[in-house]
Amino acid sequence: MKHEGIRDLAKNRYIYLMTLPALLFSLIFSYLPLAGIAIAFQDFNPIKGVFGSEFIGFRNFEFFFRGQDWFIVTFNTVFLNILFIGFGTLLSITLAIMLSELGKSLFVRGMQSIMILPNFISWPIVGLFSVAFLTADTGTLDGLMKGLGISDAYMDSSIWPVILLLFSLWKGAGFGAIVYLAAIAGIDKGLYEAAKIDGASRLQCIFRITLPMLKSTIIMLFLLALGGIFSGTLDMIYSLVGDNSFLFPTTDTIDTYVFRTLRTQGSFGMSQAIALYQSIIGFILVLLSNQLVKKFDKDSSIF
Amino acid sequence: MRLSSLWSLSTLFYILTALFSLFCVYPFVLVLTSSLTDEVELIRNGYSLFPSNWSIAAYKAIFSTSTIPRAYLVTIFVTVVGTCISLIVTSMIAYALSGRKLYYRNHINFIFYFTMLFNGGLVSFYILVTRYLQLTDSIWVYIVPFVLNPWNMFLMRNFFNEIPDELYESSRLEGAGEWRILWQIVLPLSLPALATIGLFYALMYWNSWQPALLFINNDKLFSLQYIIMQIIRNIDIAQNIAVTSTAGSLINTQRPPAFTVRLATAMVTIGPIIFLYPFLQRYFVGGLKVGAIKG
Amino acid sequence: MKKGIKRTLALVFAVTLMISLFSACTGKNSQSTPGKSETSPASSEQNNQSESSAVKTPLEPVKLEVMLWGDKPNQFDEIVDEFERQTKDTLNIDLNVTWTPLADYGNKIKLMLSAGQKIDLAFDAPWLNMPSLIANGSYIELDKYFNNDQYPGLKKAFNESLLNNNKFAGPDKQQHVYGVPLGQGYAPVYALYYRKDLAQKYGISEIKTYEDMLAYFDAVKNNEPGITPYMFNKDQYPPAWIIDGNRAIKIDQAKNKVWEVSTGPSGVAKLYIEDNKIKAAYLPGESTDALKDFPAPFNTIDYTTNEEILNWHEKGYIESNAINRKDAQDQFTAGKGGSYLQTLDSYVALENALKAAVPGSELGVYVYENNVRNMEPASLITEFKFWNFLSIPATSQNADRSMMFLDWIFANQQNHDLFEYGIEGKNWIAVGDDKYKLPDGVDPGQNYVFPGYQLTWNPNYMRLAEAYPQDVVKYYGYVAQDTTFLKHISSGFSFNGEPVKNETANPSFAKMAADNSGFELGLIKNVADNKAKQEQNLLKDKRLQEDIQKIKAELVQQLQAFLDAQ
Repeated sequence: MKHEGIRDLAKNRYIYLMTLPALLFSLIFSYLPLAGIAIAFQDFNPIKGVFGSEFIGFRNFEFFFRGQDWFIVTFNTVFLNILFIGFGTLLSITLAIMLSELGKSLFVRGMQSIMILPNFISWPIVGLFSVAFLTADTGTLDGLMKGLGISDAYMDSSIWPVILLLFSLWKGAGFGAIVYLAAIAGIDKGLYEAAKIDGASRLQCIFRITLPMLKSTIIMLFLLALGGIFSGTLDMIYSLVGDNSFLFPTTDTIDTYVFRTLRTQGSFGMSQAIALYQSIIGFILVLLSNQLVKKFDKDSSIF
Repeated sequence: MRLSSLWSLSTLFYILTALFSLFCVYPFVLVLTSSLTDEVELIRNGYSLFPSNWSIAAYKAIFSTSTIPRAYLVTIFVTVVGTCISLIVTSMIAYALSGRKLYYRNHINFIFYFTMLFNGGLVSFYILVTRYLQLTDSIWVYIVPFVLNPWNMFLMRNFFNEIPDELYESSRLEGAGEWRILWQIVLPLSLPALATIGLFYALMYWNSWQPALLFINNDKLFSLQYIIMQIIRNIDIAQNIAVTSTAGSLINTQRPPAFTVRLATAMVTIGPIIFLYPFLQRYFVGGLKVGAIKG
Repeated sequence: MKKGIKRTLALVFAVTLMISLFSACTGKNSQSTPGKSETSPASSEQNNQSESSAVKTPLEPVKLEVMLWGDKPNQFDEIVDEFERQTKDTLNIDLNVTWTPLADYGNKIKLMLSAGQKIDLAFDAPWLNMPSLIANGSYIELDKYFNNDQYPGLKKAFNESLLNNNKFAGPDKQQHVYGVPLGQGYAPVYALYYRKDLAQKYGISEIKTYEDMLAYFDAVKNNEPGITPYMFNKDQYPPAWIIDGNRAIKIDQAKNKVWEVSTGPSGVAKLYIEDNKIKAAYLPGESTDALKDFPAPFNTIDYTTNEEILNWHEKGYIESNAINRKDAQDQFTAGKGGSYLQTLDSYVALENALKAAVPGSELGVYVYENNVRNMEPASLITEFKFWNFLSIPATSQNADRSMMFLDWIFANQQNHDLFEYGIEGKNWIAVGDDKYKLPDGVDPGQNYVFPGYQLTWNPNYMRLAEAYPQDVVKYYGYVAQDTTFLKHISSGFSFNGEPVKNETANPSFAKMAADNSGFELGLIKNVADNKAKQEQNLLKDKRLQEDIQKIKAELVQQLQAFLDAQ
């Protein structure tokens, strides 16, 4: 095995050389700072620095794991993220396919450009507007909500996963479609021509050619997203929910929970500790999924 | 039969995409019109697509700070140079890892993936950049620590994978070196990929503000996004401050900028970058694969 | 093939070289500090009598790195230039101020300290980093600079008792000065601003009592559908302030020897202290049994205020759900709020905004704390503490020079006003000794506005804007007298939360605060029942109860030690 590896290094030396700038970058900016993980286990003192602060084992993790909250909050994080990723991917693919089928007219290109606009509005601004839409008595959607039997959106936690999903789709689905559009653009047009000659309908072309060709992109993006399932929600949820405790049961995630608790404390050690927790469980999840994917399709796995 | 089914499928697609576009654009237009509304009217009557009192006071307030034009220059430089460097570095590594060329490819893949999940935290990054790399108050601090984004790299690798192996074989048979294959064959065939990844990098550099917060004290080097973020963050905090301190009113003389200014900043930050995607749309065309193989 | 190698390597080298070259170059540039070596002999243009006695020989130039938060004020660079011009021969300081948004300021200071970066003076506060940075030795003691004839400015501006009340317990468990205290008064006077024009329209000439205020609310509620009688931000001034203020709860408690002391994120503790001995203590969240040793009526939890808030909510005096309200002040000045709570010094700003937006409007002021309104003595409880400080990190090499800089600022009114108000004649005009106004034709939006609470505030050097009406000015006189204040028993004490850091980080405290906001906003009916339910749930949380006991024990221990030392 080793012999094969060394032979490969020699045979493909120019290709390996191509990997150098990126590897160097990764070493300096990603691996060197990893020393900071030690802070999770320290009583960090800025003056003493990373190498001088006192080691305190798992004490920084205690505040989070005592009691039941950590489970609820982890569950919310995973549930909401899966919701966003699942529906988001579905919608993005659908949009991409529809747009690619409609051609290149100015109108279609215009719609494409419009769809990505929400992505450029930051969550704090979205938060400002969400109040205007959802507030009882005066909000724009008030009539609709009353019709659905919801008296005050800001007091009813059960509908918020749906509300958050809608916001997430609004902001990200159009932009996410770009990747799939690029992938579709790369599909060999000859395949479609051959299929049409054989008498395939448009729908059949979509399901028999487009989708299978997108398979590896979809799987890879999904795998990449999987690792982040335990984090990445702070901006969005804090901007929309804020400190409204009525909504915490279904919208409180690891990020918002920790942010709220440490806001007044500001301990580097504690926040690093929870970040480590998020990294580790995400990592385990991806390791397992990657192995699974490798069994079915060797080229779609990440590593 | 086929003609009518063709017609109805297209119509359906048109309707659905148009609906979604409307769904996307409505709040956006609302932000735009609200930013052009007179401040008092906005507070009194809320948001509206057709306000009765227009006003460009918010935009005047933003552009009156002389740092904005300079910030545009900084941001444009960072975006253009950063995107170029990133594309070069990323295509090189993505190409190397695509297909089954390298024996150690999965090991290298893992090295990059690991960094996506595990992070050493702000403190060590800060110390690295300020103490060891001496990048404080330098325009390169917006670029150098961010040159390679592993997610973009994996995406590009995925696009390169779509290129059929026969293409490589025929080129190698002709005696082409790896560099030439990448530069003259793979890249021209990957225009949609380059456009996409280029767009993502450009957006990242365009929106970059955290390096300014952490590492830059010279206000001539502030990025556009940073100036705007300052405005928004200072407003939010000014309103929350009274909670934590009971004495010595802190905000009696400093009034936070108007509500409309917050909205106007949203518009200004977007700026030219929304024109980047339409500009890149022409590159979203398929490659000349069939011809290449046969030729 | 050979060509291939060359080109690959060439590119790799080019890229990496470019990066490192540029970063090295610009890195070096940022390090070179232009030294200002002025060698002209000392004949300062400014009449700084106090300065000339302290500084005889020209000093070497020193660059001071000062960290402050917020936006950089307009024209700030010009003020700094003027300062450096005036003190070129005396202080010879190259002043470099870095402005950071407050949301990130706390973290940035910590990061800079971790990386060993140069900070000479930094704003800090008990509500920011001070507790943790003092405890881990990041700030130096400043005791020696005060009451020291070498620093006459500081001696003049900061008297013994002011300093004593603003000391903190250091790593050696002794009280020291860890920051220069900045403030203009020991307690602000809060007032309910209302629409006098509306009040008069409905037959109320002026609000003078609580009942008048309720009548005003009723009038607005019934006759002005688009206006909310009392407008407030969720996190700022909820109705409880007015209700409690009117009931003078805090004063009552104090007279009965019950005091409130903050423990930080874990809430405000109530303590019953007799003859400097702590007899009983209660931290919110624990069982009310802990209250039984308190003197009546403080031995039970009283829900009167919550009931009253609910009453206000039902009568429509407050919004149906203020949970997302963040712009109450703007709403009031735009004419959508009937009244709004703020400190007295906001008078001018509010009046200007209101008059601009609502023609024919008039601003009324009702000081809702009865004793304060009648200007009675011993009506404001205070620990004589300020909330803003300037501290010096242990890593600074220029502590002396920094203190000399501050000494200069507090030496006399002229020096002080340069930073606080700007260049006289250009940014402001003096009106007598204690007032000022803006010069004609100056645009307030472009003028120099400095956050004095970060550098210059001091009770000895105060000026009021000329535009304040006599009604408001009389209260400034009132709070300038020491007799106005009732000294809090824990004056000079600050709780050091480090030993119970993990306990105070219990997320249940944050959750408790979030739950209480429901009551504060009048959203929860059946107050007594629901409060009882809340209590039950809290009692069930074993960890929380353990943490509360630990924190309480720590507080009692620290406070008792402090009281014993008095």
